Amino acid sequence: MNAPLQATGVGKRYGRTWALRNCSLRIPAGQVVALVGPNGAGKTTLLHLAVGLVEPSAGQIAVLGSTDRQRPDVLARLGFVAQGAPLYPTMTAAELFNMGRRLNPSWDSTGALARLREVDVPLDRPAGKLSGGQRAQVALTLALAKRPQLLLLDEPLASLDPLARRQLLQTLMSAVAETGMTVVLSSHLLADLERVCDYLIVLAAGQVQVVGEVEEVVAGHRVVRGPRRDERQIPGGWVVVDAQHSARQSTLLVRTDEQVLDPALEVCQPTLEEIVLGYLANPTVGALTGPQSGRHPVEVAP
Amino acid sequence: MIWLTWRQHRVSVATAAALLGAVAMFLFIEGRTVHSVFQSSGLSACLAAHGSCSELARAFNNRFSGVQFVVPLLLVAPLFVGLFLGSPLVARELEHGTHRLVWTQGITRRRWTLTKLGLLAAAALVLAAAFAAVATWFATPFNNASSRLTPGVFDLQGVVPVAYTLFAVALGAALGAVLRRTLPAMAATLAAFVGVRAAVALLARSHFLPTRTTSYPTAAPGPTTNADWVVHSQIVDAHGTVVGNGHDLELSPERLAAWCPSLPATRDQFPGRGALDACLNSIGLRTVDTYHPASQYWALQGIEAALFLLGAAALAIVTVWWVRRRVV
Repeated sequence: MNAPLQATGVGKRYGRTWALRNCSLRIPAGQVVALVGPNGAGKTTLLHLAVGLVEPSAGQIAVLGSTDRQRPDVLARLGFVAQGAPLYPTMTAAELFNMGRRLNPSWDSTGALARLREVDVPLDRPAGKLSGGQRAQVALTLALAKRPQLLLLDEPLASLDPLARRQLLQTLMSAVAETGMTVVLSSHLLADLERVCDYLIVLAAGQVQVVGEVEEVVAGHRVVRGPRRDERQIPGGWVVVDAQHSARQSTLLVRTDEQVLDPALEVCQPTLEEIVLGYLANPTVGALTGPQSGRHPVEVAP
Repeated sequence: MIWLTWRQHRVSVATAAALLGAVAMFLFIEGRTVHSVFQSSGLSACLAAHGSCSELARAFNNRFSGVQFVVPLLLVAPLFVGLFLGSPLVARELEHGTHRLVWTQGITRRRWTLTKLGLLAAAALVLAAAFAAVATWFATPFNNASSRLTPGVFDLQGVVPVAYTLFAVALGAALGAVLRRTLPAMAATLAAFVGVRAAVALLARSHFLPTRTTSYPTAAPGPTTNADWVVHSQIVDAHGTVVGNGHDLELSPERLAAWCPSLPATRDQFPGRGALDACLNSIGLRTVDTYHPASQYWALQGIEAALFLLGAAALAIVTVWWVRRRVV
C-alpha cells in the first residue's frame, strides 16, 4: 500500500531561517505516528505542509498520493486538528457538525454524535463556552467524522488536564481500532504519546533525527557503560548518539545492531525516552531514516 | 458553504442593514416633508416650466438647510458597508486561526473565497441599491440650486453609491487577506477608499467625457444653467489675456480706470450697473465656460459605476489568488 504521507527533501524557509530542512520520510499506512521534538523544531511546519496550509520552499510532499494538497478530494480524506483546536467560538457543536456535513462529501453524523455523547459534550453550547478538554473533543470528533484515511493532530494534548488527555486518547484509539486509519500526533513530550504510538519521528532544529518503528528504533540502540574511552576507540559499526563521561567511566548511547561482545563493557537496552532525549540533546548526530537504516546508518554531515 | 457564510456573517449583515435602515427611515420621513414643500411652494412647477425660480429656490433651500447633516452620512455609507462586511471576511479567520479548520475541509479555497465574497457582495448590493434609491429620491428636490453633477452631490445619488459599496467590500476583503488582521485592514480600507474616491471625484471624473466650451460677453447672462457642471471658467479681454478666474471679476478702481477712463471711480463711489456693463462690453470682455451639460449625467454615472465595478472585480480576483497562493 502507498505511504499516506511521503516527504522528499522538503524544506520550508521563513525569511532567512529554515523552519524545516531537507526532510525526507515515508509514513507507512495504518501506523500511529508520534512526531516528537522540542518547541520550534518544525513539527507544526511539517503538519501544515502536509495539509496544504504551507507550500514547501524546497522538495516535495505528497499526501494520500497527491502533491496538490489543496485538492478537495484529498482534503476530504484528510483529518486535521490544528494546534489549540481552533473552532468558531459562537458556533455550537451541532452547528460545527452541520458545517462539516455541508463541506465534505463523506460525513459520519451518527458516529460523531455518539462520540460526543460518550464524553458528555453538550451539543447546544457555543464552542467558546466549552472547557479546553471539551473543545479538543469537538475538534477531534469533527476531524474523525470525515472518515479520514490520514489524521493529523498538532499538539492535541497540550493544555489538557490528565483526565481530558486520557479521554481524548481513548476516543482516538477506539476510532483507530475501528477504521485502521493512519494517525500522526505531534507533541513536545514523548511521554504523552509513548503508550499509543507504534512509529516515531524525532525532529530537532528543523531536521529529522529519527524515523522508524518504535520496536526497531529501540532494538537498534544500546546503552554501553565501561571504562573511560575516547572517540577513537569506538568500533566502526557504532554511531555515538550521546556520550557522558565521568572521571573513570563513559556512558554511551550508540546506534548499532551488532552484538556487543567486549567483556569490559556493560550493555543494556535503552528506553525510548532515553533514545529520544539523546537525539534531542545532540541534533547534529545525523539522521536515522527509514526502517531499513538500522543496518545501514545514513550519515549526514553536520 | 452557503449555510456557513450565512451563519458566520448574519450578525454583521443585520447590523449594517439596521444602521442603513435607520438612516433610510429618517430620509423617508424627512423626505416626505421636503417633497410636499417642494410641490406646495410652487418651486417644482416653476422648475418644470423653466421659469426664473431663484427666489423660490433660496427660500426652499434655507428652510431645509438643517438636513445638510445627512450628506456625510450618505457619503460614508458605502465605506461603512465595506468595513463591516469586507474587512473581516478573510482577516478574522486568519486572526482566530479558524482558517486552519475551514481550509482543511473538503472544498477548495477558491470556492470558499468566491462563495463568501459572492454572497456578501449580493447582500451589500441589495442594501446599497435600496439605500441609494431612498437617497436619490430624497436628494432630487435639492438639485434645484446646483447641478447634480457637482462633486459631492453626484456621489450620493443614482447608481454610483451601489458601485462604491461593492468596491468597498472587495477592497476590505483584499486588504484583510493581505494584512491578515481585521483592525489594520479596516484602517487601510478606510484610507484607500477615501483616497480612491477623492482622486476619482476631484481629478478623474471631469475627464470621463469631453467637455463643452462656450464663450459670451461677461456682462450678459451665459448659456449655461444651474443644471450644468461648469468645470472651469475664465474671463478674458479682447486680446485673449486672462483677467479673471471663475465668474467673479475683481474690479479695483485702478483696473476700472485703465479699462474705462471715461468712468470716474473711487473706492467709495462706483459707477452704476448699467454704465459698468456698457463699459465691459465696449472693451470686449468675455467669459469662457468649460462645462459638462446636464444631459451627460447618466453617461457619467454609468462610466464611474463601471470603473468602480471593474475595480471591485479586480480586487476580488486578487483576494481569491492571495488566499490560494500567498496566505501562510
